[in-house]
Amino acid sequence: MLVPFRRLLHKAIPKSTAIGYTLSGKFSKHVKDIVSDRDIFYDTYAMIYGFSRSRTYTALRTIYLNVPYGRGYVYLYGATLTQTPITLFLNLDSKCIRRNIIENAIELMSEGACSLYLAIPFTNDSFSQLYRNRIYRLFKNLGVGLELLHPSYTLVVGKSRVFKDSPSTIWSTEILAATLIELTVGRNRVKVEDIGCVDVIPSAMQGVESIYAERLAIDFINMLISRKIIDEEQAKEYLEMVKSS
Amino acid sequence: MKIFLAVNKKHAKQIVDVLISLTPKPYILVASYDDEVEVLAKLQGCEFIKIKDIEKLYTIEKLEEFDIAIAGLDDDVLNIAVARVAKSMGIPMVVAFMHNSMNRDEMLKEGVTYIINIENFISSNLKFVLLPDTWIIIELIPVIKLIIAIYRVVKRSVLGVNVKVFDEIIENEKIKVFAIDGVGNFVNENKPLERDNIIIAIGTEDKILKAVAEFEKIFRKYEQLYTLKYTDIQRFGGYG
Repeated sequence: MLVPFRRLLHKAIPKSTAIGYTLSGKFSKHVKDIVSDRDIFYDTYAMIYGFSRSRTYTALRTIYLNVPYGRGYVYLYGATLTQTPITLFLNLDSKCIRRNIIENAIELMSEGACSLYLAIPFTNDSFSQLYRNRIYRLFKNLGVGLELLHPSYTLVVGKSRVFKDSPSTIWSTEILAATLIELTVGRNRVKVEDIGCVDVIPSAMQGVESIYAERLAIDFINMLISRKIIDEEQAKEYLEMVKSS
Repeated sequence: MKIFLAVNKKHAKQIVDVLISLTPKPYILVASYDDEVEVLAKLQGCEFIKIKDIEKLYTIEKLEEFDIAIAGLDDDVLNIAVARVAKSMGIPMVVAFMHNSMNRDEMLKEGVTYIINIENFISSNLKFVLLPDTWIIIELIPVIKLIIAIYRVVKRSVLGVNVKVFDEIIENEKIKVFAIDGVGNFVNENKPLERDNIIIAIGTEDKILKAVAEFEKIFRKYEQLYTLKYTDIQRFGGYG
């Protein structure tokens, strides 16, 4: 009997957990179809990180975050719920996600090619500008996160343990997770892929990017202190650098 | 009786207080992220384990012998994770705090037996203070789905509605409806409701929700009559 190629491919992929997140509870249908695929995912959750006042009715298991607009906590809570060694986080509103990108990412993870995989920037002009001025400057200074050109990514796949051990920040926990891996395990353990498509942060979120950027910078510096990568004096310098930008 | 409690510092005092007042005193195992809870548990004679990761709870074999698990952490996802562990360990009764009512289904799916709705308590009390002329539903004892609907009459006090009208339409329903005034005295059911009188209906969830919809229809009917009456007064130029 002929078996479609895709099904054969799926058999080779170890199952992982998909944690989709959305601001409004309205999902992009093709993304929902992908994350509902039981051949790839052992379990799938949808996390609503917006200010939801009514329920979203969907076949996906749905969790409403206690702290609205805290996309960063999706990683922490997703890692708490997952029961598989690999967890995939993705923006359910994405216009760029394709099935083959997800399959490739999971294959890379299962082969052990990396500990964290990021693709498809999730940003807007103002957030990217703030990120470049405040955070990427720090990265260049420290020589880490040089591939992390954007403040957040739509597709993040990693070992579940990575997200549990990583500190959280309000929006961009994946950036902290990526830099932590680079600093503690090695730069080659993080893979950032450019597929030539960008997801734009919903317009409802405009105006608060500076809070997210500043918080990310502070949380990043705190992470460096707690891991004894920098001392208090250096931390002060970096904080000045963030504030002056 | 053996009780397992996962709790944070915010709710620890109130839960431990209830548990240690039980007779005979149960064996209590407290798990928490917080040092403050460790101090409290040890001083109150409870066993304590520090948790950094809820998954580690799977390694505590003795949990299989427990009768009740209480997930009193300050986040629904964490409480769901604790409930999942308790269920897999075969603990027959799992009580969980819920901070967002929309997570109810997910909690039930993960084996929570009884949900304590923290959000409802806060929001309903706030609504009562801030929103007059609105039906407010308070979960009294969610375990048996006993709820209470409260309505503070302000603008609608001009309509002349009395409690008897409400009572008549719920004749066959197993709920109780009455009104009290601002100082807590019962209002006679034949007396028209005045400003700051409070209508109270108590019963099970399904019946109360149905009754509240009917009560609202009565209010609207009286409002229509009131509008018609004053339209006529304006049209015919006063009472004369």
